[in-house]
Amino acid sequence: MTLAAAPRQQQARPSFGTARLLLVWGLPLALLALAIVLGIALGPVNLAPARVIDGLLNRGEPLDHTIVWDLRLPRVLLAVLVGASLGVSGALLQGVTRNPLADPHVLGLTAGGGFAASLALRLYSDFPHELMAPVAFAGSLLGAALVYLLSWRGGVSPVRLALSGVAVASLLTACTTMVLVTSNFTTQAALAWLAGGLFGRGWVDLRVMWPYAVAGLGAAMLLTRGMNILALGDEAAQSLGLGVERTRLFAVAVAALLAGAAVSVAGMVAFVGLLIPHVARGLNGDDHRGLVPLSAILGATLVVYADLFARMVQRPVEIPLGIVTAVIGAPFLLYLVRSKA
Amino acid sequence: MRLEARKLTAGYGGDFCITDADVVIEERRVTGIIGPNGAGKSTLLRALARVIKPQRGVVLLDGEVLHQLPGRLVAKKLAFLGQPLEGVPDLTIEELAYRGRFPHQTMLRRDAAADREAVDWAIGAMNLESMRGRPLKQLSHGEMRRAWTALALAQQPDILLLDEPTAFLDMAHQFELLDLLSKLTDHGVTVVVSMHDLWLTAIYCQRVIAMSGGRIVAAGPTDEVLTVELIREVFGVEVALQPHPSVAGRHIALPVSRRREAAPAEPVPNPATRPSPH
Amino acid sequence: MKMRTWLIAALVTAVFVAAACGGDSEKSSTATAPAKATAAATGTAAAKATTYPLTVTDMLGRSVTIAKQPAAVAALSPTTVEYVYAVGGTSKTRSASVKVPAEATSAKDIGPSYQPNFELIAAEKPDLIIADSVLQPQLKQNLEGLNVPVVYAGAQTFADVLKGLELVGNVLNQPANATKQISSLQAKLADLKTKAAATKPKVLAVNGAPEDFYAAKPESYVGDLIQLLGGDNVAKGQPDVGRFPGYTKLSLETILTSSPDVVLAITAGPPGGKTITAALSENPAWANVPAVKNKRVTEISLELYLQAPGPRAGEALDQLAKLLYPIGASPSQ
Repeated sequence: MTLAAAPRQQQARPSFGTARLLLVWGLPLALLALAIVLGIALGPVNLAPARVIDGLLNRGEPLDHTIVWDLRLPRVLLAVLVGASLGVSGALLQGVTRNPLADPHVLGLTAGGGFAASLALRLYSDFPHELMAPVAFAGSLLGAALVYLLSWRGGVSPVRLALSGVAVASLLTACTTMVLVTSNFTTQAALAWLAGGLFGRGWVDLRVMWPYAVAGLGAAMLLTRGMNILALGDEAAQSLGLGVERTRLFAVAVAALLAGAAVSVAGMVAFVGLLIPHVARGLNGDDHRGLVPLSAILGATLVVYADLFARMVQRPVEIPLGIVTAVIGAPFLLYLVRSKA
Repeated sequence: MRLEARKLTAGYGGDFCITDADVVIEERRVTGIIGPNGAGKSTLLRALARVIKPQRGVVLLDGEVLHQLPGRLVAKKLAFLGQPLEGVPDLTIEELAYRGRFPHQTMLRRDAAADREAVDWAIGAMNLESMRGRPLKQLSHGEMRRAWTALALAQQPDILLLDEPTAFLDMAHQFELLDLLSKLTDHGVTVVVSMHDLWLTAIYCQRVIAMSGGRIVAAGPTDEVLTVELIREVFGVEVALQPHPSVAGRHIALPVSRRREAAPAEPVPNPATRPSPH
Repeated sequence: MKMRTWLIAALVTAVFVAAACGGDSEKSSTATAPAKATAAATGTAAAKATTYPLTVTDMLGRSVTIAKQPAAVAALSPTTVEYVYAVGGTSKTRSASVKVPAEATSAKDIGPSYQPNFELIAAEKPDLIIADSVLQPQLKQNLEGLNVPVVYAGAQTFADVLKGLELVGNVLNQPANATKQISSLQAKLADLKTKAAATKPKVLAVNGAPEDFYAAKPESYVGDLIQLLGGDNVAKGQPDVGRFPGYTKLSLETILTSSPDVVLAITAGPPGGKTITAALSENPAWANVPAVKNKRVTEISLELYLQAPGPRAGEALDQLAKLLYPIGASPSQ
């Protein structure tokens, strides 16, 4: 006994095949490649392209090599990792909380990292560079733990997670401010990066931070199928055999790791984790298997361009990176919000 | 695939919704759980489906404690569908059905042919062939419910548990869905549904579990359980039972008003009822 | 459930305690301790030409080796730029806020002291970098990454200025010029001290904005100069607070009870805005402070006393002496 379905317009989702692939993946990758090239080629010192290449291959003037290899290249690579980390962290958090406004900044993860880092610098004025990344990561994890504990009641509901996150973010930001206000001058100078930026970052920082970022990005990829199931709702996920609490916990931990890695070198850069997953979703849809890597690519692209802008637009003065990402990101997010509503 | 509960006490957040329930689910039949609101139907269903943990007592699947079995293993045998159905408006019906293959897929092994076969079967069984590629946000209530049911079917479960599957559906779709579920039992699937509608329960369910106030009041073949006395006890209403005009061995329950209209000449003749004290 | 509540409370408390654990002052003037220790040795050595390769201990206590006489020097802050020019050298670079000396304005602007642009520094191809030991110690690693010897010099006190001149003069092979500067400064101070009146005035020096200012302790540059001239600083003994080393916050009550005879103000704000001096003179709460009553509240230069402590200390001392001792000031004005 079959009831014929009432005739309806066929509105199956169009699949353009290759054209779509190019748009969704080719375009962001091309933009990222361009960003990296520009980031290396441009700077306060004007270098002709030939000199840039010579500098990269270390076969021209030692000065060019210093500028391109020691100053610009590690900074661009760091921007790539920071952007990718923040983008993916945001994607994970938005998936776990089912809240489109979630990101590592709003939920207190970057505040946790910033607090730990500022505390470390305040207690030991000559705090070694190499320990900054693990300290920031530990801080993010502590922030995440606090958020989790506050929202636990037999399990963690997405709504409670989001609310606790906001509360913890305020708490930890206040504590960071307290540390800053009571710290002396040298600590404050060292903490200038907390406002957000890659000033003075080089190979040392990259060497320390990249394992955390790469580990986090890898772990995020492993989570994608679980995230897809989680998106169906807790009961459906449970029915499908997913360990719901375990997956959520893991996702938050990975998001914390990525946020901590980003904060340890770039301070509190807001907005990237909030905006990028929306753009990625617009291009790719909700499937996390594409959403996560695309968020990484788009996040990296945004931060590389933003950092370039931050150090070029008013050279030799550098604008804090967080301001640039906000200025680029806010109108875009507004447009997204309006077009969805 | 024997599913049973023994001395089951369960609820949400410290409250016990159901107490001391003993239940055996008959294989390859449609079992309906009935009762008024708050009786504990949803809780019982969810406890049986491994969606909530028992606070006391056990749920056993083939003799093993359900909650101690690995989730993925259970998901290949049990599928649960509750409501609301949320969260992924942009997914197409086909993509949603594919999510149902999750328990069968591991990191390393993935049997694409088996997946495709299961999804095709599930979509076909729910009569959604013509709209496989349509995103969920464009579906009506009924189509949405069928799409999610296809998800559950794609799991290829032995036991399917559905919470109020006919809610918000118009009559035609209610019939259609229950017909499909009945057909599933012919394929060897055990179906457990919580039902609001006595009429449909009487026709489509071969077994009935009646609940009231968190306890199981009666369980067994439909005709034995659905009596006027039981309905009065569980629902607090007076009904008259009539044999179904076309389905042999089935009765339908007709409500009897407690208040008499402008005094009829004689009481409504009905051998099955007795005047009830209020 | 109870356990969880305790756990949360413990965590939150720990976080607050950790953040608050910072009322105590950190050991201040770590950068200046070595400078003070070696101050005694300043100026007595005869001016002899520098021989290269030269190994010096800079004002952060680092041992630096310079292979040969530097041909291109990059000084990165107002103080270090002034050091370089005071001993007769030139700098390829300058910090954004450097206006003095006039010859330095043609040097390449590399940005603010706290964030100098490393590319621009490198582009000048310096063979010696002179960085600020007070403002730029955290940039050590970055500057060393440019593969150029980095010497740190700065000025937190008057003694630092003498030490800095000697160091920079040595490094740039201008020992004679350095000695001249040093002797001149020492003579100036000695002269002013003898002319100082017997009664020491109580002095309050502040920096900031009318609504939010910090008081200079004897450990700050201007505080040090005041102390050398015999002024009694009302802010002594307080813990370090705020963005500049050697500054603290004083409550209004403390200031009123300490009754300063002289108030010196550095207003760090946009030009044309209200100065601290104006605000204090108008404020009825301050009307009974001796300095306000006797109209001895004065604005002093942001640049001279805060941004660019250094070789112009002589000029600063002159000015301060006049302000602290209007009667009996040096006739050589």
